[in-house]
Amino acid sequence: MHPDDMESLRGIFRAEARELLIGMERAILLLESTADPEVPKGLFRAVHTLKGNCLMMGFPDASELVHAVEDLLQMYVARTLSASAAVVTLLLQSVDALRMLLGVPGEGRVAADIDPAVIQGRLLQTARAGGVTEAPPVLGKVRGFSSEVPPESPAPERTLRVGLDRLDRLLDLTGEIAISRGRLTTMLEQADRHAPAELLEAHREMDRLYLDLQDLVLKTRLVPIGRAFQPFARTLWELGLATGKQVRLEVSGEDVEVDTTVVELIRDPLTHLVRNAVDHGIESPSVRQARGKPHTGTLRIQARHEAGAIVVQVSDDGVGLNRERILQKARATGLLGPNEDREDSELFQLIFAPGFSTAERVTELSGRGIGMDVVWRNIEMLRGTISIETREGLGTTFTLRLPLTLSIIEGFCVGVGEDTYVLPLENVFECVELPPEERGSGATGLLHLRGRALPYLRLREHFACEGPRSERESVVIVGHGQEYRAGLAVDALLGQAQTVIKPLNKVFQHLPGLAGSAILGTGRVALVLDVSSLLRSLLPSPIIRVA
Amino acid sequence: MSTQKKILLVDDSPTVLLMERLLLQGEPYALLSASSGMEAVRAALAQQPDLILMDVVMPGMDGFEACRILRSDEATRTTPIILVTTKASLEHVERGYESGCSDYVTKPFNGNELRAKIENFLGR
Repeated sequence: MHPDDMESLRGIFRAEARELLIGMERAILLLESTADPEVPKGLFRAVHTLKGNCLMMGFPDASELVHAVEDLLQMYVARTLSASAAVVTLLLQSVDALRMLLGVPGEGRVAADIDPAVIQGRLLQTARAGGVTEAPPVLGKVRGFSSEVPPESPAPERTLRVGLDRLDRLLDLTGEIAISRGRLTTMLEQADRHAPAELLEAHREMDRLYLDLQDLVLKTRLVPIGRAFQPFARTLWELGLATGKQVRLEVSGEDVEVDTTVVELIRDPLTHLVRNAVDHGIESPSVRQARGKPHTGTLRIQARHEAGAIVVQVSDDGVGLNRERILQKARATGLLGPNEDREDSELFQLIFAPGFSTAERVTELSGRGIGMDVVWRNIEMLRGTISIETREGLGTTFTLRLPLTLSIIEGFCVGVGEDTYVLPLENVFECVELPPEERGSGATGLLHLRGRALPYLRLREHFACEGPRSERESVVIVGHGQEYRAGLAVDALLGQAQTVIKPLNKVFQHLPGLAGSAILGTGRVALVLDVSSLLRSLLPSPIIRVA
Repeated sequence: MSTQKKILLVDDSPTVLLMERLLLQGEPYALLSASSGMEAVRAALAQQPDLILMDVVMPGMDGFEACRILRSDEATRTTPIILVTTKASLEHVERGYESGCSDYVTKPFNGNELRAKIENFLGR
């Protein structure tokens, strides 16, 4: 077989194996609780297909492991096995071992530190003994957060499956654009025979088609957000075993379509919120009962479209955030002064500060106060916001609001010297003129605006721009969400424009303050500013509100 | 080319379908594919392939069932059907022949084996 063919075959095999393993994992978790005969049937089919594919693709170890899983599953479904939780653990570990053998990481999960040979031995032994005789191995650290990924782990392949009908529509549209372009070219060649209005109309027609194309291309990148929720059934099951808490997962809006990058980047923050909800939110069954709550806690993950944005909510019916404890902690760590207090919404935002954790004891599950700040950073990277609602004793809801697409933004252009910079319009709140006494060369300064002192950053100094200084300077007030405001001093306000963000070349990707580049209507290149990181360079921590 | 023999490949696994295509590329066959038993029956009745290479374990209608249905239709009563199984367990072989299949290949098969089985029915 030709090496290229072999390569595409391997690609298909890995993609299919990945899906099969996700399906297996989901079915294994359902086996105990479901009466639907399709669940075990589907599971056996997946196992069978995977076994055959492993054989065909030359993975004898994996195929033997799948075979052992099949045998054990047969006994499990026939109810000839005892100690079901331990058997389920073993089956799930087999899925991990297969992922490792085949090099297909699970959705958002880190390959477990597992020896496939040991797992296989345990499968055979369990089948022979008719149940798990030894205690199940202690679950290692519950995995699934990228900050724990060892740096050498290879980046997962970025692929996207696209329906043929969508590609066909794209092709159709390209054809229509070609026709329209041809027509315009002909008209321009004989421009003297056409009125300017006619030419403009022909151009507009092409423009409309082009916008349709843009729209379709963006839609092609859309995938159901449910993919990001896939690992949580497993996560909750493992957390349940580790903590003795009982948690039911309710998911809705899995079909809401989002840009594929959103699914990639939202997984980690969601994983953390889910783990946090179980660890700190939901109470143990006995505590819940004593408080008159149902034994089993509920964790809801909901996704929906809302006014041009995607809203994802993670809510639990646990204890809620403890205002008093957060306040004490904030004072103790110096985030707030000894007698300072804040309104609820502001106070609760403090939990996103680096190193902030109120858990009395550091647990294996939620780590050591790293985490919530990572959630914040990830959501910022998606140009999204996060807010918290909590009612003591009743539960907490985290609401993530994300932009629909990541590559096209409504931009606001500003000029500094000869350069143009683009700010995402959603981060721009207002523009004011810099008072004459503030004009000058300092890299930062303070502006008094309606009785508040607002720090600002002079982009000219910050990016060491050249070119003549302008007579006047303006300040663009930027911010993130409701709270944090700061100013950016610029030479000129150039107005609003839809902008396609292009990623920066690798060499420049880690430059602070820049999110990407864009090509302007004039054909010039502009840099797109990363407002969050600029804010960070101005404000000591994201939680310090400029009061 | 009207003289080209048509082969219908049936498997719910895209990996297997692609592998079969790759193993048969360069052979003088026109290759059709279906990803379920139901689709296979529809395609076989509509396209009248000269041979069917069919997976056994599929969701919905499995390979045995599809085989039985095709055997009961005049148009496909004698079309050679080669079943593809993971392990030619005795049970599979028996059920397969009961359902009317013509032959078997067992995974993992290689190109030579597959081509030989096909040529056996279609000649060259």
